[in-house]
Parts: sequence; structure tokens; C-alpha cells
Amino acid sequence: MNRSNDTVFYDDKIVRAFLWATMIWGLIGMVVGLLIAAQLYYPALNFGIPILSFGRLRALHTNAVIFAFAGNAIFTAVYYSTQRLLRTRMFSDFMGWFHFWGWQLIILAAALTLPLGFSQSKEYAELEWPIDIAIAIVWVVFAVNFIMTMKIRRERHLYVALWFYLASIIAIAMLHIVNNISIPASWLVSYPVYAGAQDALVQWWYGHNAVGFFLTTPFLGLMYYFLPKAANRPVFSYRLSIIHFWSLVFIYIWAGPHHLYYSALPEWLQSVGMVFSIMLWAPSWGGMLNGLYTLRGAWHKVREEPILKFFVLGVTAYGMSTFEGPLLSIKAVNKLSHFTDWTVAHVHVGALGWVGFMTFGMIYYLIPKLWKTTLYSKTLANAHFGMATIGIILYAVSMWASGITQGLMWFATKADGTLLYPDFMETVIAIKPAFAIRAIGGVLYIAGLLVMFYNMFKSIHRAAIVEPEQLTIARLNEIPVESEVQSLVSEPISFKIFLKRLHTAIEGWPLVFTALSAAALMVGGMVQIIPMILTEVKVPRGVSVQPYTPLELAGRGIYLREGCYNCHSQQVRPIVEETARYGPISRAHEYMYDHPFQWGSKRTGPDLHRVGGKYPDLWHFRHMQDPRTTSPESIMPTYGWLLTSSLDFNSISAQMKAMQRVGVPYKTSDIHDSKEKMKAQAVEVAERLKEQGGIENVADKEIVALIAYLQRLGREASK
Amino acid sequence: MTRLICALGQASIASKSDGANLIDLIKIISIESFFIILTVSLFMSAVFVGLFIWGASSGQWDDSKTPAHRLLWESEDESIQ
Repeated sequence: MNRSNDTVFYDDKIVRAFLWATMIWGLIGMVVGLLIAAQLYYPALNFGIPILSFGRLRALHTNAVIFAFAGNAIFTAVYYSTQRLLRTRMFSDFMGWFHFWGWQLIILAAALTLPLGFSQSKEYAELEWPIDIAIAIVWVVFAVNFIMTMKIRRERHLYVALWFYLASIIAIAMLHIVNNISIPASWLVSYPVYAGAQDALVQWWYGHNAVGFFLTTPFLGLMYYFLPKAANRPVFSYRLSIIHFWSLVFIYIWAGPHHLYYSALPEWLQSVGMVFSIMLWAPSWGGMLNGLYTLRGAWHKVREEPILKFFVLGVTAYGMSTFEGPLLSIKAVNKLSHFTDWTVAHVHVGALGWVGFMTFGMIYYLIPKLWKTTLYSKTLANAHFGMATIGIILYAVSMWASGITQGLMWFATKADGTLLYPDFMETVIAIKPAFAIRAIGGVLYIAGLLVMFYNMFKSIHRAAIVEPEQLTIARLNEIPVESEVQSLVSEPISFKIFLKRLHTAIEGWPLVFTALSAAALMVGGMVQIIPMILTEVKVPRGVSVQPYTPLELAGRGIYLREGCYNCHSQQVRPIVEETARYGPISRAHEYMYDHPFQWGSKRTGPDLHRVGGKYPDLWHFRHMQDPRTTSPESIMPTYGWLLTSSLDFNSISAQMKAMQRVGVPYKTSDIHDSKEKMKAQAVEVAERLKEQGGIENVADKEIVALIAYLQRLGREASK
Repeated sequence: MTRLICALGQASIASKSDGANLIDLIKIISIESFFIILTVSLFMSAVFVGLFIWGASSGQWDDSKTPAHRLLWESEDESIQ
């Protein structure tokens, strides 16, 4: 082999594919976000159609912007910069395209199943189990492709960006698998093995770290590569970037419980979460300053170059959201902010500012490089920057105002200690103008994206040729490239031979082999261990909690399907104003049969954990039919289809069996009679509806199941 | 495995706080899924520690200056033939 020179063809075709996917899914995810934002101001925009209702579309919005927009942006950055930093083509084209098409199919599956109501009802982990398995497979292929590219690298030093990518890949794999362990009841319905407080802890350990390792570390890798490149300045302090990386990965994992303050989670665990969250302040700001100081002596370039404008604002947004994050995780602050739009403002400064602007900056940088052209118009890019910036400001300021206003109103009391705003609706009416302003901010942000699309089309159109693969001569340094690994990349081979050679290559690399084996062992072990320990149900002394009746369980299924948790919490915190508004504090054992938990993270509507028995059945019927008839000014969607859709009596036994497997003590005889019991209870509810309001012929409709579930909520507390 | 860690965790806390009732301590640590995420988090940390040791011992960070500059030298424009 010639050791002095080596011809390398970087694979930019796949980078272009991921870039297009980022743009297209980004637009779709944001438009869905704008629609649901508008629905909150003008509920008629739910159109009374199931697939367009807020509860279902909100999951589609979050999944699309996180996994489709941000995900494809990450892959664009990784596939482009990894090849250049390691001075080699990606290890396997096949794995790359498998990753690309696999990921797009997963997103497509999400876009179909979520509006149809197939949801695990855990935030940012809504996708049902077959899709979860597909994600795990595609992710592992991506991981192997990435790690093997490191193996065949022609550069000894691993630049800090690569460390950020590697940590993201490892962490996301584990988080995803642990949080999604569930028992299927059918092809598109499953229940997590964890219940109640247990499920909440695992979910927010996942939720928090997904933000950390999906929306933060990969984009920091992006920052450390593309920002110095675009500014043509070395990073301010390479040493600081390494400290940034290691401190972040070691601290991040332990901060998750800050999502569960004042909950049934043990107090000490909440404190652990708070301490680690506050510690995150230091590395985050170290990283932000490192990014901004990189532009020292180059600020005049920022004035002229839209790419740098996006990066500067993106990094600033990182600083803002990582300042706000630890602030919100101080328990006393969280008391006010939790369940309000303050959280929404916080995540959107991160998503629109940090993730969005870093992505746009990267794309403007890549368009000329990937298509061998120049950017069609800097003016349009500047216009995009201006529109999107104003959009973010409108979004963030309106949601900060909304969150703090509503939080203060919930806690406002009169001199005698009673609530100043006992009617929840008053606190909604007060923030409705903020919803309108937020939607205007969204319109501006999306308009900017459309300008970018136009600019991109024009730029690519101008490209003289869609160029052949980029040709690079890279010096091969003293690191020998194993011939068998090399042969995987350099010549076209059949898939079978590819696998055989892959095996040989991995075997020759003990570290990777050990890591992969350990990962496999851990997954295998956990699949066995977790159901075993969690199926043991602990019943507190002197308390008896009854599992849901078949009809209540079916009603809970509807509650999950419609995504009620997106706007209603089921968690009364031990705060006096909260017990005055909703009722007794929620206790851990009340949730012991809740697979999944439904504590929620946002109160667009009131808490529901003590709603059982608060209103007559007829009230719930009318409320679902049209919320405005029972609660004037309500912004809840209408749920007319629940009154007309037939209740599914046939799948209840399968659902109860699955529940039995995750530890709910249903007797086999209960499951055997489930259909009859369900019908009998449905008739009871229907008769009450007839008695109270002359409602006829609803004993076989979904509404009776939902009413049965809602009326059951919180009844355990009074026992 | 998880049970073992659970028991070890309880024992270590019990031994540190003298006079504390073991039953009370077990009640405090009553959330089993904590031990799952603890195990996984520790495992993940162990992986990162391993990577750190590998990186440090193989001299990844001996030079904390030139990598930042090399990023810019390796401009693909220069290497296109």
C-alpha cells in the first residue's frame, strides 16, 4: 500500500440527503407547531376532527422537531464533519443509507401513528413499541458506522466535536432502550413495565437526558466544528472545550429528577436532581463563552456574514437557556414555573434559538460547499435571520409573561387565605393574548424558514454541475489502516462478504468488541431484571388500592389516545394553594397501577387528579361534546367523536392481560369476565346520563368509558 | 444485579448513620426504578470513564493547542485536486 498518499472520496451525497431531510421535516414540524399554537387561541382550529386535535398533534410537533428536524440536522453535521475530521470516507455507505432511509421511515411512521392516536403517552417517547424497536436498530447501525469510521481514521487526534458526537450516540441508545421497555397488548398498544412514580422517574431521567444528549451535546459538536470553520478562527480555548465536554457528560445524567419536584418522588432524590442541575451552570457557560470568544478579533465578520450571525445568536440562546435551566431547577422557582408556559418559553429558547439557529448557520455554510456554488442571496439570509430573531423574541417574551402571570394567579390568595382566582378559567383568559403573540412569533420564524428554502433552491439551481464526489488527497500518517477494514470501504463487495469482513475487523479490535458485548449483555440482562423487580407490588399498610375496572381501563386508553396529559396534570403538589384549588395532595400509592403514569408537565387546563366525583356524569358528557357549554371561554378542543364512536369491547381482555404481566393484580377470572363487566358498567353510566339529561343510546360509545375513568380519578384518596 | 446494588446502597447508608433504623432507611429508598436508572447511569459513566482513561493515556490531550488550528488547516478547499 502506498503510505505517502491516499485518495479519498468523501461521501457528500448522504450529507446532502440529510440536509434536505432537515429542511423538509423542519418545515412540517414547525407548521404543526404553529397550528397547535393557534388552536390554543382559537380552539375552532381543532375542526372537531380527531387527527387535528391538539392532544394528538402536540406529540407530532415535539417528535417532528426533535427527532426529524434536530435529528437530521445532527446527522448532517456528523456525516459532514466526521469524514473531514478523521480524513476518511464514512466506514460504510450501506450503513449510511440504511441509517438515512431507516430514520426517514421512522419519522413517516410517527407522522401516521401519532395523529391516529397510537401513543405511549410519555412525553418525547410517544412512539409505540414497533417504532421504538426500529429506532434502536437504526441507531445501532449509525453507532457502528460512526465507531468504525473512527477505527479507520487517518488522523490520530480525535477533535473535541467527535467526542460530543460519540457521547450522544452512546447515551441516546441507553436512554431510549431503558425508557421504552414495555409489554405489548397489541401491535400498536403497549404498557410500560414501570408504574406511577417509578415510571415518572424513568421517564424524566430519559426526558432530561434526551434534551442533554440529543439537543445539546450533538449541537455542541456542531458548534465546535462549524463555528471556527465559518469564522476561520481557532476555537478560543481548546483546553476549555475538553473540560466542557467531560464535565457536561458526567453531570448531565444525574439532573433528571428536577422535573419532578413536589411530587410523590422521594425528597432526597429531588434534592440530588437540584444539586446536579445547578452544577450544570458552570460547564454550560464555559462552553458558551468559548464559542463566543472564538469570534474575538472577528466581530467585523459577524456584521457582514449571516452564517456567523446565526451562530452568535444560537450560542447566545444556548447561554440563555442553560442559565434558565438551572434557575428553573431551583425548587422554589420551580414551584412557580412548573406546569406554566415558563417551561414552554425555556424549551423554545433552546429549540428555536440554539438548535434552530445552529442548524440554519450550518446549512448556510454547507450549501456552497455541498453543491459547489455560492449562496444566491446574502440579503435574503439576513432577512431570514431578522425574521427568525424577532419571532424568537415574540415567542419567548410572550410565554415568559404568560407563565409568570398564570403561576402568580394560581398562587394569589386573599387576606383570609382563600384563592383570589378560584376559577381556573380566569387564569386562562388572562394569558390568551400571550397565545396570540406567540403564534405571531411562530409565523415569523416559519416565514424566515420559507425564505431560506427559496434561497436554497436558487443557490442550488445556480450550481453549474451536481459535482462528482469530492476528491481529496489526504496524507496517510503513521497510523496503519488495517487492510481488512480498508477493503470494506475501498472496493464494491457483496453484503455477505461485507458482514464477514466486518466481523473480522471488529474481532481485531478488542475495545469495540468488548463495548458492544457489554452493551448487548446489559440490554439482555435488563430485559429480564426489570419486569421481575417491578412486578412486585408494594401495598402501603392500611391502604387498599383497587386496579381499574375494565371500563375504567378502556377509558384510560382513550385518555392516553387523545393525549389529555398534554394539557392536564394528575399531580396535586403539597402546596397549600394547590390543595385549596384541587383537593388532597397526590400520594405515591395512588398511582401504583398507572402504566404509564400521567402526571403531565403542563396545566393548560386544570389538574385532574381529584376530578372524580366533582361533577355529575352529564357535565362530562356536555363538556366533551362542547367544552364551551359547561365552561364558557374554555380553549379545550371539542371531542364530539367520543359521543359517536363505538367503544371497543373486544380488546379489553388483551389489555388486561398485558397489565397483568406488568404487575397489576387482575385475577384470571376478572379477565375472563372482562367484556361482560365492562358492558354492565357502561350500562350503569349510560343510565345515569339518561337520568340526568335524557341522553339515549350511549352505552356502547367511547364517552361512557372516559366518564367512568374520569369519575374514578382520585377516589382512592378518600378511602 | 440491581437487587445487589439496592442492598449494598442500603447497607452503606445504614452503616454511616449510626443508630438509624434500617427499616426506616429502606422506606426512604422505596423507589426501585431509581436503582435501574442508577445502574444504567453508573454504567454509562463507567463507559465515559473508560473513554477518558483511554483518551488520556493515549495522549489525546497532550497537545491542547494545535488541534484547534489544524481544524482550519485541513480546509478541504486546499486538498481538492
